[in-house]
Amino acid sequence: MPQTVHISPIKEMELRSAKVPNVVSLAQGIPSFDTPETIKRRTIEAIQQGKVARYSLSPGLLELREAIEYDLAKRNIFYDFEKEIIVTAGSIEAITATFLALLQPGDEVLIPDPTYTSYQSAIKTARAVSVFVPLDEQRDWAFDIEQFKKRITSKTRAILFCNPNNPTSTVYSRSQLMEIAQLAEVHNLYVLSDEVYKDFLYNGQDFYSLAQFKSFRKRFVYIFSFSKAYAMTGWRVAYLAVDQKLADRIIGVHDALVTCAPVVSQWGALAALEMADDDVKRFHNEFVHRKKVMCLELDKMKKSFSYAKPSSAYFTFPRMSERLIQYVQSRMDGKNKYGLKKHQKNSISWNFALELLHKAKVAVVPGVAFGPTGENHIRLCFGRTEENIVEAMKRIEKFVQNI
Amino acid sequence: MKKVFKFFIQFYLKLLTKAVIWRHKPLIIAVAGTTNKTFIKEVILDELGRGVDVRGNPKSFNTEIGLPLAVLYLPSGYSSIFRWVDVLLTGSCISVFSRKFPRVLVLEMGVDQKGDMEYLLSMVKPTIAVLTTVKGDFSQNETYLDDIVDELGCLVASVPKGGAVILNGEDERVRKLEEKTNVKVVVHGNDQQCDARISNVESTVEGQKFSLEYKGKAETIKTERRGRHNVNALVVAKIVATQLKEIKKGQ
Repeated sequence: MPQTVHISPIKEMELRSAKVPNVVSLAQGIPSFDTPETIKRRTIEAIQQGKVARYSLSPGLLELREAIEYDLAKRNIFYDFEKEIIVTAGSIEAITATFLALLQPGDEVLIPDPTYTSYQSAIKTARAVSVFVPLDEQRDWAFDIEQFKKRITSKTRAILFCNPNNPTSTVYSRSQLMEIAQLAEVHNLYVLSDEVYKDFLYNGQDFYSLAQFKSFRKRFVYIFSFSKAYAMTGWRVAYLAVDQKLADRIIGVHDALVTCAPVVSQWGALAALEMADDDVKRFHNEFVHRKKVMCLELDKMKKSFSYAKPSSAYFTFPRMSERLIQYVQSRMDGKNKYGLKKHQKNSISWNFALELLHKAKVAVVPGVAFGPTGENHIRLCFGRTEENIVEAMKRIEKFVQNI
Repeated sequence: MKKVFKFFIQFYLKLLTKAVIWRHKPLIIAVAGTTNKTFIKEVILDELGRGVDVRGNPKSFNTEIGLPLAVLYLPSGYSSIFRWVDVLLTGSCISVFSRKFPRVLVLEMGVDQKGDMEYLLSMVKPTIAVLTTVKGDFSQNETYLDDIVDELGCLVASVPKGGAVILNGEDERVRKLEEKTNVKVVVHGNDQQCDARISNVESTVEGQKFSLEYKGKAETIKTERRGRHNVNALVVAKIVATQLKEIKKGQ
């Protein structure tokens, strides 16, 4: 009997919050912006010219893949657009297709803990097993290679990580990436790097990708999505870049899953690469401001939350204070009043998130959704409008003050 | 309203482009085909030496509006009417008053439908034409590739005596374009009949390496880029550099 793949907790929170009137959501990681005008205009032109009604080649439009190769080359990342780049229906399809192509049932995949919730679903879809590797909260959620080494078994086949990490904003240094590469070489592992937030770094830090390490390319899968950088979450378009031998294996699964990424969205993605650099900068600057706004509000609640200021992406991941934890425990009377699933009902962060949803009318994501180390935390998204952030934080502040 | 504005911009940019080219008479190298235009343009620019004397399209500006912007070296106004006004005013100044202008322009020429090339050729007259490849997919209509070949044929036929046409011998459609011209044709590819012969293409940890025999000289070339199109780009750049010298000698 295969394991059940549940809907992601992030989407579950959005579904629950949709039923609560007057709710403000900081749950799903969606930028509040509309897709830039230039992208929309070029896409409309493609529609009007009759370019979107048919399938593209399975790996995607030649023009888009060529633009992707060109864009990657600016960062010293070199892939052959004809044979090594596959345009996918979002990054999660890229990850799922890769795992379905490369893993056997029962294989183990190391993922940092906490990290993006849907990775667990993608791994489960391939009948493989997620193995959580804790990040060090005491050192601002730093990565520790020794923790990875400890968890490698004869069944370990891959490492999947998000760089910068969602929800902790951990950015992997060059030496840390080298350590991952060496570990993968020694244990014959594939490494998948999801770099969806690479455009949103706030401390001027250098950003490296394992894709820049030429000797490592045969076991590496580079993944990027247009969703966040270009405010295109609804377009479902991303890509993976990978050595040709792996691409030959992944393309068959991609073809079986979706045939090709939506062609209309592929034209949008092409426009994004060619014309939307200024919009990415605009979003970045706005996120810098919204981060400040959210951190100022969180700083007012020091008795209730402690947190590391995010250096990238658009999330804060505050830890609940003992006082809050005790409050939640006192409310967990065994009646499961919010209808939580079996694996959720004893979780502090799930119960707290639902208290916030129903009493403060604010939707957040329970930290445990990102892995066991995320328990006793909540994730707040500052990709939402400033107005939403201020209102949500006010409501949370009022709620925790009254405890 | 938008259509009228676009028509006006297009018309005005065409006038400015024709004026600036008439004043400065740069030698134009056109790069056309469905893919690999940008890579080839970039490598040609590297080979010839970017600078005051040699310039190419910024980004991939290569259409009815993009090409004039490339010639005038202006940004796009995208969706902003105010930015377009600024672009047109700056373009007018460049067109009428500029004293310095590159002696060589390397221009991508993008065609998508019948008539596109004719329009582009009404603004620029290339002395060297590079034809990359003709590839498509199911998302285009059935006659798309044939239409594109016809358009590329217009470019090949437009190259004046004393100029050169450089063809990708690995692409059957492109190779056939040889029939459209009487000027010098240089074909690059794997087979023995090619003027520039590529062999031993090998993928390495660092990228690729291959052998090139051209004009009696054999050499091994390395690149960190992947894929045959990048090999072709390097070869084309060498051919263009050689042809440019020969054209200048003949002038």
